[in-house]
Amino acid sequence: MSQSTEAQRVAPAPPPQPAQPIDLGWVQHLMDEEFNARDWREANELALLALMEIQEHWGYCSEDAAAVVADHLGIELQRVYALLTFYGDLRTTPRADNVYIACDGAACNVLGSGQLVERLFDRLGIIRKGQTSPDGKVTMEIFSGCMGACQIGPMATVNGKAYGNLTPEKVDQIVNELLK
Amino acid sequence: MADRSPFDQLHARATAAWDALQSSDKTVITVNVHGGSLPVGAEDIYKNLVFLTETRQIPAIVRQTGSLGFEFAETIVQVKRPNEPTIVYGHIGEDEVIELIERAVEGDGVWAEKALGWLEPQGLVVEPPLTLEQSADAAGLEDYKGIPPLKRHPYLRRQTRWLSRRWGRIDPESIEEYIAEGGYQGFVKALTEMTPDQVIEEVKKTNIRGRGGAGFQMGIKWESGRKSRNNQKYVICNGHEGEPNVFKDRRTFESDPHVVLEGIMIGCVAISATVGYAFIGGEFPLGIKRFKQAVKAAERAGLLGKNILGTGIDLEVRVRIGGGAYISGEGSALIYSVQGDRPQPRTKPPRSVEYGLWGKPTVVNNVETLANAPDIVMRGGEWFHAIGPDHSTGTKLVTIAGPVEYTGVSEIVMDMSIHDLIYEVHGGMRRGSEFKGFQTGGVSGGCLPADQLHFKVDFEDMNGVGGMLGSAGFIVLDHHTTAVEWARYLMKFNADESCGKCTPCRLGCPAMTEILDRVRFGTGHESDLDLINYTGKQIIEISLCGLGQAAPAPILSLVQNYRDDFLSYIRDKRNPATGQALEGAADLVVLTRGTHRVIDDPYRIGREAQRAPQILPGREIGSEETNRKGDIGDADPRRAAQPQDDALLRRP
Ligand SMILES: Cc1cc2nc3c(=O)[nH]c(=O)nc-3n(C[C@H](O)[C@H](O)[C@H](O)COP(=O)(O)O)c2cc1C
Ligand code: SF4
Ligand code: FES
Repeated sequence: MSQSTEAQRVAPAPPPQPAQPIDLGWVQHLMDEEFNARDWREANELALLALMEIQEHWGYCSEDAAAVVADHLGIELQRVYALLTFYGDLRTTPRADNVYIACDGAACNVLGSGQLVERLFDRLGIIRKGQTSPDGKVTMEIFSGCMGACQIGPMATVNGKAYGNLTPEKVDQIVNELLK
Repeated sequence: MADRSPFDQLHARATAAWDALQSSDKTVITVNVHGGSLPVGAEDIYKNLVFLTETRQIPAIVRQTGSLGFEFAETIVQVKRPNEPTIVYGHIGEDEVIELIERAVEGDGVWAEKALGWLEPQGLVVEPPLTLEQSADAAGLEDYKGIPPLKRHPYLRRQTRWLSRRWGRIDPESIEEYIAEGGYQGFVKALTEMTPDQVIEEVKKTNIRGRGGAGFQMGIKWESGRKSRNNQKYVICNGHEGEPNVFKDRRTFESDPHVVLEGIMIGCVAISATVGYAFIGGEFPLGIKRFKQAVKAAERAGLLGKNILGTGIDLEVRVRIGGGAYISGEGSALIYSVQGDRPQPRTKPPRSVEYGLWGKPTVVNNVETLANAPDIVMRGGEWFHAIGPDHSTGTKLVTIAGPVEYTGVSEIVMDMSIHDLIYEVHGGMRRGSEFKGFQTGGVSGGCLPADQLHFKVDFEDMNGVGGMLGSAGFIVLDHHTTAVEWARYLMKFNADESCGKCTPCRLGCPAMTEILDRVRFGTGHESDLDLINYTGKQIIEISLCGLGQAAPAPILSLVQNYRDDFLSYIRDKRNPATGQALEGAADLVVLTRGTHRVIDDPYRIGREAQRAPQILPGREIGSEETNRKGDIGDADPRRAAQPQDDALLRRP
């Protein structure tokens, strides 16, 4: 491990770059169209679904968008924030353009994904899952469930495309490509 | 007035269409599209087949289906030419579609190298407890044009396909095909011919135990649900499945969503609930999509909604999506999650059948448990009870992950030994892998070494040695994995997924991870093994919910069964799998999460571990020599430099 990568690792990752902010009008429209609760119970039940839907479309779900959700459903803002900050899938900041999702499910782990993850952390200069590399190019996620393709484990998806039977060399290749 | 004629008409129409498809004079090409084949290009293959058959004007019907359970051979394409049996082809790559058309659809229609076997018209179904091979023998199946029957495939021979009999056969997005294959008969029977008490009586006779992990008797749960008096009750189907190695529920949603829906509906009828919920993990978009479609189709067919079939019974099924937190699979946390609260478990009693969703009686059952309900209603409790041993009735979907030859979802009668499951169903270890251990119960059971494989895969047999069935997701470890690495992986998973509500689990799991990290990087002491035992037992004893109560169990069993691995790390500072010397603890501060803990012994030692990288006298953090050669274990913690970056020590 060279001096420089070590220095990179210890440095805190810079804040992700401001990406396209979420269009709150769009969110309001979505809420009007699809999330109309019949009673307060349903209003509470729909909050998580609405947040997921926003994230599905924009890649993340900001606090402002959460405020629109709370407002529309008529529930307290802190209840929506509580969900936003608890669930592993929900992000309040956008990802980089490239997203590397490493599967670290049990099968992939047994087949060696643990080492690959550590190697990727090194290469990208990050220290924790969900972080974006210092140059803002790649966001790395670790998926600790199973991505459903154990037969080609260890596997990862990069920008939605699956790569299987990964080896350190293959991972290096992919990362070189992404960081280019 | 109950009137089942609308359903019967639908059934007649659906059966006619299904028969027409079976005897079609066009070639029927079926692509298995599901979560396990999408990553290897099934969608592309499907689109390409549609395109090619159109442009080449081949008379063919191209359709989609779910999984056959053959994950290792994806993508699978089934080709049925007129007046010939279906031939199942495996390992079809994205770029092999043209070859597939030329060799399997046109010409003499057999592509022998890729063929897995041929299928009879009724598909992979066998009356349990018979196995598929026994049924093939009974029917005297022979090779067809040199291709063996699929039922004799080494992966299927010892399996029993019953619950999964429609998988990879019907189009999961078509309610008609499900109805043509006997679907919704159970629901209609429960609705029009039986009283709720009779339904529960049948379920109780089966002795069926919950498939979600705890193994609680379904009949007893339903009966208490029936008995609790309230104007509103709920049934929730627990389809969260957040464990890192199980995908049977997901495949059920993707391959046969209607059977789950029918199970929920029967549950609602039995306990007189008018609203059922399906809670599905957000990680499986295809399963969500197909299940939502199933609900819509059932509404259109008049099986959901108001005054169903004139019985005066109303029924609604709602779909709720999880947000990627393993803990929201736990019964009470699941209910909070549906309610839009943070999914944090609560103390029981009251159990959810007394006080559940919105304070109303709620029956929570696993996907697979509910999927058994239609057959129980149709065939009766005694029929079900006769399958398998008394304490573990019925068939069980099993997933095995790791370096075995055949990965996928298999279905067995719970009377098989672990050894047979690995070697005779899942094909044994891959080439170049030696068996090392068998992790039971997902992330919560013990890890069994080679001399304990004679135990049976059921709810009772392996409990004595620390194993458990759990959700029947098992992992096979090979000699490349060391017990220490594996223990650390499991502990880290639980530490990450701990909901943080109770102290022993919130602090204990990261503390155990730190101890294991210390061992892993070569700075452990032999006393750490006792420390693991001591801390682990404390966490098990005083945690609030099943996560904390089970999290240390696999670690304790690993320390007990694979002590040599741990000692090799601690004494020889060597990784026993690779033989390499350990690199030192350079990464420790990065990989573990510092928390403020000063109280008890294990915690204090955890803190020292956290500082380990900084404690070398006179050297800077992260310099190359420090990382590689430093004799870190003996350094004096009092001379530790302060961590440079406070941010690293904060909890993420
Ligand atoms: C941490 C934890 C996670 C769980 N995850 C699931 C799950 O993903 N799916 C599931 O069906 N049951 C899960 N369970 C078990 C449920 O608490 C509950 O026992 C089960 O849903 C009841 O259904 P059954 O009786 O049909 O098995 C989990 C339990 C614990 C403690
Ligand atoms: S044991 Fe763990 S997961 Fe369960 S309530 Fe306590 S902190 Fe939460
Ligand atoms: S564990 Fe990685 S795909 Fe299943």
